[in-house]
Amino acid sequence: MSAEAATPSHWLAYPLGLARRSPTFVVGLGIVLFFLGLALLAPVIAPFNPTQSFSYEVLQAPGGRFFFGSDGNGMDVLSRVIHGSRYAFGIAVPAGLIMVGIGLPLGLLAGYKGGWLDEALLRTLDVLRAFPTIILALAVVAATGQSLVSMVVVIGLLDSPIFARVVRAEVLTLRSSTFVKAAIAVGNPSWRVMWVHILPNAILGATAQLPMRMAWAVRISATLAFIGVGIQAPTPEWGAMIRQGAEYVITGEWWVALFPGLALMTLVLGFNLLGDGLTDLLDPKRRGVGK
Amino acid sequence: MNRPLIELRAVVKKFPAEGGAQVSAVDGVSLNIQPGESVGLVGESGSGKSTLGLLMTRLTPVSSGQIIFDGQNITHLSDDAMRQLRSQIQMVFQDPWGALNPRMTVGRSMAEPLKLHTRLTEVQRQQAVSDLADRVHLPKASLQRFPHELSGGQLQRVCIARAIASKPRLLVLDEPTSSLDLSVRAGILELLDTIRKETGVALLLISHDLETVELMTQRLLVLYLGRVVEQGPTREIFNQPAHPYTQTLMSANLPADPTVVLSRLPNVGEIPSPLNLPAGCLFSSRCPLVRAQCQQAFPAFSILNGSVAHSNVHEVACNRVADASHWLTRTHQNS
Amino acid sequence: MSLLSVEDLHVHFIARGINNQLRTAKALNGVSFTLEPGQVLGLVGETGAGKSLTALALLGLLRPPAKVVAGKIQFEGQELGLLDQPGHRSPRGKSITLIPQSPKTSLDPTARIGDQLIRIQREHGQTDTAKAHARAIEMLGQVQIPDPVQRMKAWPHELSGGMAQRVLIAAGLINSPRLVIADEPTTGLDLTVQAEVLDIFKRLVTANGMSAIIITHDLGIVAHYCDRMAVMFAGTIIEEGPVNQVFGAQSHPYTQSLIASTPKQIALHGFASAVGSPPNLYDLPSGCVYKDRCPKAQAVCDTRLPTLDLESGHRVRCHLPNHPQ
Repeated sequence: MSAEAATPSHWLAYPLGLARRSPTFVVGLGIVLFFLGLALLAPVIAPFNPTQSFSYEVLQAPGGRFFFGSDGNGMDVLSRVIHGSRYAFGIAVPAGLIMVGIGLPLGLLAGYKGGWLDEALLRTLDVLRAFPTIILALAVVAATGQSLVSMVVVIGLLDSPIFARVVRAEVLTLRSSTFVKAAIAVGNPSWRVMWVHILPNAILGATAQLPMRMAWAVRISATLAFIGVGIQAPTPEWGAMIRQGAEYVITGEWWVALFPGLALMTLVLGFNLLGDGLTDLLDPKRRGVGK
Repeated sequence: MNRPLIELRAVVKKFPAEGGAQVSAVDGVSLNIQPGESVGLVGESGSGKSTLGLLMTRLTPVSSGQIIFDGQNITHLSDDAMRQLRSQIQMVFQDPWGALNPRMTVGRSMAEPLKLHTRLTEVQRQQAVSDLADRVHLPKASLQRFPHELSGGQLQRVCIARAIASKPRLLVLDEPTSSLDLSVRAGILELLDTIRKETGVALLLISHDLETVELMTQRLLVLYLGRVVEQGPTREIFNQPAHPYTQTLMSANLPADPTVVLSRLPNVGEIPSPLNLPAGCLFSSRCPLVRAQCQQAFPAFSILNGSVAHSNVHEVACNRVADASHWLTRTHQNS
Repeated sequence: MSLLSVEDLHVHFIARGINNQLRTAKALNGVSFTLEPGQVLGLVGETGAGKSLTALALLGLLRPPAKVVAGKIQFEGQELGLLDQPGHRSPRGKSITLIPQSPKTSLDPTARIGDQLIRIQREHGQTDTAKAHARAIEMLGQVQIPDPVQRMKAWPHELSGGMAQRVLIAAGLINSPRLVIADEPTTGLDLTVQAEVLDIFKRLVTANGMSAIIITHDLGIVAHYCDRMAVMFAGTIIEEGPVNQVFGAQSHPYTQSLIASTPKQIALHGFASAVGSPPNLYDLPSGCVYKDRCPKAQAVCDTRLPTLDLESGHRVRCHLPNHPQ
């Protein structure tokens, strides 16, 4: 049980140690970082402009000039898939920020104060659970004009109560913990108990949820685009690409839908693994050696 | 007669239980603690001793009764006013790992009461924390560490340092050594003893360990199912326990000395459920001396050593006190 | 021939630290002791001393990352396999049983008490359910559970802590083992309940001529319920002998400091000098494991520990033991 200071001898030692403790985390992180890299470097690494249409090379099979083939408009699928990650992150990240910005204080206050705020939150969650979220998102985006911004806002808003619930659960557990009692006993006012003692510890527990919510944001934005809401062609967004590609599956041009589909699936998987891995890692550290 | 530092008058604490009923964890306890005094609270599970600690520090509100601190009625004091008073009444908890914010260095935890209750600058606070670390024999290097990096004994020292930082007049200790290893306990007890002697702080030691209480306290209260059954000078109660429950409890103690001959008093049954308390005296369902009168009302306190100063009185809530001491002697003869 | 003989048991834990380096914790370092039929041995020590680990080794319940690097255990003349090998016939559960701590979590919450007691018998060869049922009721009576026939139908969560512990004792003794190991049998129990539970345990063990090992950190329990005691520190038995002799002589400085830390002794002799930090099993000193904390340590303590036989049956691992009083 005593504290041993162990200094890593090799710079790879810490990541390797992490990998051992949670391979899921490392794989998930790798995937997410890979796509993030694609998103950031898209203009540099994509072989073609994603909306550049080569009218005489429509629906080319993969290989040759177009590594992933070309779609019905003669656009390079590979470049479009690469640029698609910009849209995936471009929607998921701001939506995530909205989610945390609303969900965190909401969950914090609902959990700590209880009362009407808590009731309101719980009822909202009940409503959300009763509704198919897709329909809700569909309705709101269609009503507010089909733009990227409205998609981001809707997704962020829909995510907030769910994130708030996770935060609330953490806060409830913490509220009855001894160190919070001690913090009150020492003479902390309520706001300080929440800000200094509960918040940092609640965030830790809620952090693992963040990637899960991002995965959902990516999926639902693609789904909305697939239905035809929000994003219009020729924007290189994966959902929209799959929508276009779906028409060509029957006629045998499988690559138009497959590659964006694979990209979507992999990124969502990556976020989920990241979330799982984080849950593993944030488990209370195992103590020393058994008796 | 000195004014007591803190006084509890007929304090009751009820909790909701299954089926809408209410359970009294504390059912009419009156006690007082003089400035600088060391008082012990002993009892088994269901006795309400931990709840009393929470009530006294107003970490939980009373259901009825009064708490008077230094002449001021603090029973229903607003949270704001109570906050300022908290510098005077501090608590040390049983589980040192759980009592500290895992995301704060222990140095920061120790500095918190200074931040809240004093106007010291950051630099002055650092110095004060350093001095506190010295007083509780904590190596200065530990101040930068997080709770999970320290041992139980060191953590409890941190908690004690945090508790005395605001120079309180009353320190409530809820089983301060029960979670710690044997060899570490003595050090903590010694620290508490030293602090009391140096600062004159009053101690309320809540414990189930009789020998610790015997060592550390001047006065003792024995609790059973939320009520005081016996209270008085520690020495007297240990030499001559008067209440049948106190006698049963003491006889169950196992001293770390094989040469001591145990005189075990028969233990009749188990502690009744708080939902199903006996009528009258709470011990009546298990007392070998029970009579019809015992089941009618909770016995009034009788004073055993009437002529001494009020704060040293030894009183027992039992109808059969006179016979109880005979019972103890008789069982000695039988064993 | 001793009932149980443990010789020079060394158990290491191999784990990977946060920086991916292999670390070895030396959890048991040469544990040796014997137990005669009918004896009750108290195994005392603080956290990390290795007491529960020794019990696990005796029961053959060690699993990786625990690794037995040396030593052997003989029970009734037969050598015991030290690692859990499925299919390997071991006396565990029949001739050697365990009464675990925390009764509330050690009982199966999804089965009635009676069914669990019957199940334990069936797992060790009792095919006649009626006989198993009768024996279960008999055992519940022996541990003084009121109304045993009714209690057979009770669920674990309906029992109080003291009752649950007594059921565990009944379960541990129901197959008439030769050796019972009780691991901290009274943790979490009230003082008065503890006394009763220990009385019942001792009485049953003695009446049936069993041997027992009581693992505890409570010196009071050892003083009044054990015939012999073994004091453990950092995976080693540093002193062992009849209870009266060990308490009287306190030959090893660690034993002495443990006893000096009890409130009674503090009341008589004042507070003892400060104690050092707990041993680091990943980095034990060479020679005597206690030397970093010992006020009497000298150069000779850097060498290997001896085992000194003081009187018959009283052994201490120290170069400079205290003189018996």
